Amino acid sequence: MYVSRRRFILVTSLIGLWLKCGRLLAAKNEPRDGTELGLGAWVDTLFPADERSPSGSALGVQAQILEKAAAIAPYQELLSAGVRWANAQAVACGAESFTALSLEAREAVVAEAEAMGIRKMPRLFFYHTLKDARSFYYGQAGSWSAVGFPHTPQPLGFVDYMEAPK
Amino acid sequence: MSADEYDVVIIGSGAGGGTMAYALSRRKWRVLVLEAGPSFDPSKDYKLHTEGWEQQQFPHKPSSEGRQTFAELQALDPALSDLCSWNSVEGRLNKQSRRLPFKYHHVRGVGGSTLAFTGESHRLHPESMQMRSRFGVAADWPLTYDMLEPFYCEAERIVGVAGPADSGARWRSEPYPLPPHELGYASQQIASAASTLGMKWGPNARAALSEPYDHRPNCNYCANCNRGCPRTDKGSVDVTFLRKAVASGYCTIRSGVVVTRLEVGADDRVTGVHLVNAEGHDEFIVTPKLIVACGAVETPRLLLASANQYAPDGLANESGQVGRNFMETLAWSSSALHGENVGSFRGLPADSISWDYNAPDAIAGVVGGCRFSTGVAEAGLNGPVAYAQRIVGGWGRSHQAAMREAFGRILTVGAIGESLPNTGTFVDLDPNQVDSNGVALALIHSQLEPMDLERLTFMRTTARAILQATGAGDVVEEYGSYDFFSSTHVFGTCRMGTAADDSVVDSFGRSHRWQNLHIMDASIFPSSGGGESPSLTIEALGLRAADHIAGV
Repeated sequence: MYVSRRRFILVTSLIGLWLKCGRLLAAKNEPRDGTELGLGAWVDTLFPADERSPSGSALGVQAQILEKAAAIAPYQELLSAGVRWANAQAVACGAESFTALSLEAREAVVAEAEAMGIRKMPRLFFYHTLKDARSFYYGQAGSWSAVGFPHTPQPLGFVDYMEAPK
Repeated sequence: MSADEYDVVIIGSGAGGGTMAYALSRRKWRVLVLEAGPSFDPSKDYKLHTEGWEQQQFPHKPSSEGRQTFAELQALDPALSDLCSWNSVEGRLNKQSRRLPFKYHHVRGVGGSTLAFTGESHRLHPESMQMRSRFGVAADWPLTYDMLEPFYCEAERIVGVAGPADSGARWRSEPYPLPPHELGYASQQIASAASTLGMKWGPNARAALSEPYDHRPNCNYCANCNRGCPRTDKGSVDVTFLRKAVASGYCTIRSGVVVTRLEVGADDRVTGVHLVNAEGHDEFIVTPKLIVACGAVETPRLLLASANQYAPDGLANESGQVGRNFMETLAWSSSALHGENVGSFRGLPADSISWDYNAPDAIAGVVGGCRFSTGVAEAGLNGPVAYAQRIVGGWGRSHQAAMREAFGRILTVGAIGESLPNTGTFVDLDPNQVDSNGVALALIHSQLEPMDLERLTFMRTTARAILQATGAGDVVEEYGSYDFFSSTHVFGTCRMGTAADDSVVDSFGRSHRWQNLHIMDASIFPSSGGGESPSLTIEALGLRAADHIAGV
């Protein structure tokens, strides 16, 4: 089976993480619902709703990430571990879970993951979920009008291409 | 027709194979085309009408990409870090100390790589065909531009090329069949900036219909030729040459058929081809004439893998040149954000071009030219996913604000330069890896020489200067051949020539020894040209060769 370079790097890095973090990952996985809920709050922090844009979860980004991860066991484990970590950060702040935090507080948790060393689990969780969330979020028409992308390239094309955008 | 009723078997259905199929079937030759990949239905298989259009570059199917391997590529020189690929989100894209193999971009399918090509329809610069006698590099073409010119015209008519009246260095005996496309708004910015630098920048010759033509609709400027054209206005081989070949009633195309070996007799003739058919069964097809048209990587692979008692070093390899003289795509692109929204996700990819530095002596102190063109679509920067992943970065509210600010403002200047053969760049058989049929994979070796790096440096410097002259801000992404092998156009591994001791085929693509074996793809190019896209030249060579084969 042909494996793309990007997929190879992802899988090998995640396998490395999986081996390194055996203790953490040996803990019983949370049910999918728990991970999905936490991941929904996570993607809503990466892509919050405002007056022009829907949130990540409104476009089902977390479900698409989980669907992708279903075929990549180390990624599944990373998602569970990442959500557990985010929940732990929330609990340390006195909240019940990551989902219970305000947007500003969730942003602080995401920023903490982003600032960690490149091989740390929360940083890997941040990196891979952000990369996938960007693809899944902007891969849906619901996100396009806010950035000024009018429609799929076909069937209409862009026949006003020689004029300044209106 | 049964297998022994064909007059000619053609392996490969891209620019070379498709053209030969057309040109022979119209003369009532019974043609069998064997294509390793699947067929594509433009209205169903291309995804530009779906939300997920941006997730894939070209919507490949299982088996529509072959596998190749790469020998270790050269170490990177820290002094040349300006030539490394990078973007504003990821930083350096190649974080290793060596050049990395990214990809040989091709499509195995009915129509070949033209299914995914941009559709630039270029004639070679006449002076690029005499690189050995004029500059002591590569090899001379065994034919002249003047000899090829009538066939260029014919290929342009079949494809429906839209191009400018000004022919520049390439004289024409007739105008392009269709008027040029109007430049897109983003391209207008680049054209005006280039003119301030004294560069001439005008409409490109494009295999995309500017008017309805030959029962195909005109282009609607969706900017995604490389993702497959569902309208069929792009002149890929499946909707031009092959459509006409099949309509003649004399051409049969079998897709999903992998040729594994060529069989020869003691009389210096090919007798037939061994293949694995779409059902996975072995077959042998006898043929009185064989045309190999698998591209400059897979053609030498098949010939080398067909070594036998009569040709122990590989079929048609009496000169030792099969697989040698490999020339890749020497490319560069620089992208920057313009100060205003120019809607650069719209329009015809590579709609405009500058040939100012295309002649082989046009770049001071460097042998081999290059061309510059608009390149947003080729860089894949025409959708929001690409902006988010490569240009804007970040997350959260600041990211969303930055996306709204940036989208539609990207300008890209692309450049492709001459690739000259050298002894470190060649294709041979991988001694360790085979495909599912047990045939050794092609092993690609690539070495960039100092002259290539000087040319690349000129391409980078000029691309940046043009962007700066548009008034755009800082460059946000650059991608080039210095630190990645990433080739769409490949050439030279079965080069043509007049002498049997230093070339593989003659000017009609016929093997010097094997009298019923022809090769018709860019592997026969003795030199690459200064950045011209090769499909039109392959088609012109194919039309000329078919006339010769048919005794016209």
